[in-house]
Amino acid sequence: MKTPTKIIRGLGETHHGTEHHWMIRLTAVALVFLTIGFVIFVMAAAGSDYEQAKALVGHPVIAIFLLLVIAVSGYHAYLGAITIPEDYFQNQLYRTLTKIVNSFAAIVVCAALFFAVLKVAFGG
Amino acid sequence: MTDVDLKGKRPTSPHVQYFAYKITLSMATSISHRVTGVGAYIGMFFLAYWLIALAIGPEAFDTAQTLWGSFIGRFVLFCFTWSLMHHMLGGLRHFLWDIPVMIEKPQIEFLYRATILGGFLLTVVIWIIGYAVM
Amino acid sequence: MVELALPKNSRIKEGKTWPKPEGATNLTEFRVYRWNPDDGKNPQIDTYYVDRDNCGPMVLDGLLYIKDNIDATLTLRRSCREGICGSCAMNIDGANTLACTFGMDQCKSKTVKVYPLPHMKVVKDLVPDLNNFYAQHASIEPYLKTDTPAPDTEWLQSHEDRQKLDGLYECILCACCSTSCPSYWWNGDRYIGPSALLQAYRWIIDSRDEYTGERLSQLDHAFGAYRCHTIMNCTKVCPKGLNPAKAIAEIKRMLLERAV
Repeated sequence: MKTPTKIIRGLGETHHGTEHHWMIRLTAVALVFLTIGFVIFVMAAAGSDYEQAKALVGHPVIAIFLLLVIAVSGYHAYLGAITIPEDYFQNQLYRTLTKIVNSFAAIVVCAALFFAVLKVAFGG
Repeated sequence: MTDVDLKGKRPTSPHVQYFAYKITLSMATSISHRVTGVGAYIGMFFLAYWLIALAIGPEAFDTAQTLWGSFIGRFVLFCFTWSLMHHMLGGLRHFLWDIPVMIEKPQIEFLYRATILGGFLLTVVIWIIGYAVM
Repeated sequence: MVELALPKNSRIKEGKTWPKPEGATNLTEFRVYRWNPDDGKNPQIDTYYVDRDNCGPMVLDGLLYIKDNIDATLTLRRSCREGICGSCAMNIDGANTLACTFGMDQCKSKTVKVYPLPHMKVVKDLVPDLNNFYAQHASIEPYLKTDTPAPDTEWLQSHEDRQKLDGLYECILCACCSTSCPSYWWNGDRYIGPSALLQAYRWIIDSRDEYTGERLSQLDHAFGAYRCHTIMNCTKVCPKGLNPAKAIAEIKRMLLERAV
């Protein structure tokens, strides 16, 4: 039988939270600009055929821009998604598993996107 | 004895269930920020599909373009645009509240409404421009 | 998993409809959450009719009218009846407030719905178990902490520094804000909630206190100040007009300031 003080003290503090919060904000600011650019990119890519799309994505400036969008979005998404299991799962196992899946998913999708852009930019 | 939970017999008072707590516009807009965030996360996978199709070759890419160009595809894209704009404006709202500015009660209500309206307006503007340049 | 659906023992049934007072013409309907720890049943909603011609204007007046004239077993906390003790905090008409300062005519619907503070263990009827809430307040050490030896007279404080405490010290610990916060609903045992955070900030910006760094460090983690997602329910419901969301935002700002 735990006293209220024992319950609310739990296992104590990790003293680690500011960086996570600040990184979300920092990536968000970068993403405001990157999103505007990305919307313009999608407008340009919409309705294009294969050769046009290849030329668009393959252009060095566009390719670098897309890589930035992918990296920053991926990091922002990963950081933001961490808060969801923290809020909704009290069960330690579910919380940990969801966080692991989040990390893997973010890395996998970013790796795939990076590869695709680089292949179009460098390859034939 | 108030610190004994009577061996788990005590009920939990209702929150959103039974509509005991009225779900206000502000609460709904706040949770919509998280929902649109998850939507954007899923959007990254959709983007991955399109770019990988481009990297694979002409046939794969044509399939992807046809898919996204179809009515359903455009509808999904419209929803994604709205979701992204709503999430972006929500992020800006959080940024204001981090400073913090505009964090008194009437200003909070205003910002919530501005996020909803702004998100929709931005989406419409983007799609009008998009169709105009195509 | 988050309790979107309440556990089985918390599910609410329709309860008793109590008879209307005889000869009364001006009636207001009350639908009140009831739970008795002694009868082994689930909670229920009882319906009462309050004679407005023989009753004060506030919801607390209505509840005490019910207790005095209709059903003496209705259990609630109340004391000052003027909005300063914080005892009668409950969920009225869908939002947390003090029953003694919320008028029956302020309700948006004709029926006055009265529930206990949300997502709390219920002791009986409208009385929630606030022990965790009080423990959270104690955990932020709400007293002056100094290393410098105490002066012969008082600790001096300028007018400007004293003004910084306005809007913070007036908290009556009613628990309206914390129990309106969805983050506190889902993680009430780990997240200390807007009320305790407001008080933590009251001591953080007190110019006389010398343990600012330690106080901030105590909140610098995912379940400290960062469990707040600026949902803003707290500021919306505070019956004293305080702004816990702003205090938490200031805490986050100070945490960032010392990290950069």
